[in-house]
Amino acid sequence: MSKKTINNLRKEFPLLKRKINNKPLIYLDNAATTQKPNYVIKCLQEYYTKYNANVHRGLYTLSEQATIEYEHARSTIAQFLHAQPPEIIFTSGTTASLNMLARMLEHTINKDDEIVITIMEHHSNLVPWQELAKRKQAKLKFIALTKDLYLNMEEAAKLITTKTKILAFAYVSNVLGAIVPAQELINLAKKINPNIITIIDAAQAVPYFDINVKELNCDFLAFSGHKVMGPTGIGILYGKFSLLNSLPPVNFGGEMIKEVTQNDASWNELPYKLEPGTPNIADAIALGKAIEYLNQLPREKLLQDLHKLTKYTVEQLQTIPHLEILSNQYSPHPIITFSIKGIHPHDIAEILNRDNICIRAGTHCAMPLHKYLNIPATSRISLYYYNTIQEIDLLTKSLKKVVKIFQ
Amino acid sequence: MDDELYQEQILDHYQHPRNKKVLKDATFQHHEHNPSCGDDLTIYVKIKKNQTLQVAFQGHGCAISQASASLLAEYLNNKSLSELIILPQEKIFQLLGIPISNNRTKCALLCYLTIRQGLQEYQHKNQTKGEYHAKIRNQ
Repeated sequence: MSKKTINNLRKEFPLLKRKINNKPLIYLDNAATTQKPNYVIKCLQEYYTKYNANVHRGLYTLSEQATIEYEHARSTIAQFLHAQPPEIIFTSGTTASLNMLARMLEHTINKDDEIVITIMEHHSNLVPWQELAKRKQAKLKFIALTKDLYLNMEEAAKLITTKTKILAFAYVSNVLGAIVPAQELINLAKKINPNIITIIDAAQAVPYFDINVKELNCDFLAFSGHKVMGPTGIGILYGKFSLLNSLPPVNFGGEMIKEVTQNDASWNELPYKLEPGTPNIADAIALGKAIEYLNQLPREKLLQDLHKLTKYTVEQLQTIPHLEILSNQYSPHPIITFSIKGIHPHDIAEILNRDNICIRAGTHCAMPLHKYLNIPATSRISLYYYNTIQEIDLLTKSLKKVVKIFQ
Repeated sequence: MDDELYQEQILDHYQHPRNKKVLKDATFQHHEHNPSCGDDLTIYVKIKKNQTLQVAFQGHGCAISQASASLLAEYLNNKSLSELIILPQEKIFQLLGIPISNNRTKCALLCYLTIRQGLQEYQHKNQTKGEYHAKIRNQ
């Protein structure tokens, strides 16, 4: 990708033009949230200024337009995941999707059943299962990592048994950037127990690569809009139609019902059964636009460049004294986690912030992983399509300054 | 260096902490941590026969959290128990001597929170024993 193409791309993200104290902004915390293109921002403005109305009920033009756009967004997302529109449930994000799912599956879990997750999970794909296991006296088991920090598939084959009812895992670790061979893992699990429910937390995968739920053959998949250039407060739960159709809803209210009497209620059809109350209309439409925006980008080329930029970043970081890269150095995925001996990640992040460089410091909502790796906290750089070599050079310069201050 | 926060005193206390050790004969000790960032601190307080304090700490974390603990221990050593009882939160910022941003306040005050919690537990234990008031009276 030429420099010009990247510059043109950057122009579409107004926030990237921001300067603080007359210095440009260098945003390297994309695994936390991505910046938004004008295409998405304008759509929010348009919704609120032109057709803000409730969906699925008004008999007037505004409501009809809002409904069409809302359902159009659902179709766009369904197509993006290779799913059917009724299989796409709008939620407030990955966390809400996984929590709702844990409640929906609760009645299928009995005492001594097993739930298998990995040691790399973000708390949002750990605590809901931990709580479910506690409520039902089930067993929560963790697949560990290989020495080079990939998921240990041999251990997975041993951990998953005929008693394992649920397998839930992150497609990409938000700390290590390790990509899990999702299809292989699901095949393995279904071979051991054909009735196992497989769930993918795709929060860190959707922004980067194509997801095909049919090929993956996963039962459920969750992701957040804001990590893929959409707004905050909107996300998706994908589920196979037959499963979503047979599982009971866990949130109740308007729109999700077919008929209500004083003593009972029956449920609406999918996807409405699982979307009670007025949905987050504007942000759902904007998420559809974010996916449209992503679809028209030359993604393959952009991703290749991003892999090159990741390699360049790793090489530059390796020139910094006392810096140790903790994520997999050979993984092309643009998440790089590191520590510098004798300098706490908070101090690193604070000094980088003086140069308007935004990175993440702490445990990245993955405390068990940090405990497993025996590190109190780490610093994380995560890149997106709009990041440049010049930004990485400024990062390197700034990191050298950090080391100098603490010398 | 234009960096006010990482001035010499803070870095000196971070890299060469004072009173960083375990007090085996501590009168009370308390452990706190900031799980989200990994700052970890245990403060040991020994009330000596003459009612003055010996304060030490153990821990790991960012420069601000560890330098604050070192500065606080140094400040409280040989002070009386009542001075610890009335110690205001602002004292920590005064000891650091530099402006602390909102997102670093938690780091700066970890030592204060730790010693307050330890003191409260100690007071509670002694109150129930009826010894605490006697101790204060004797001071």
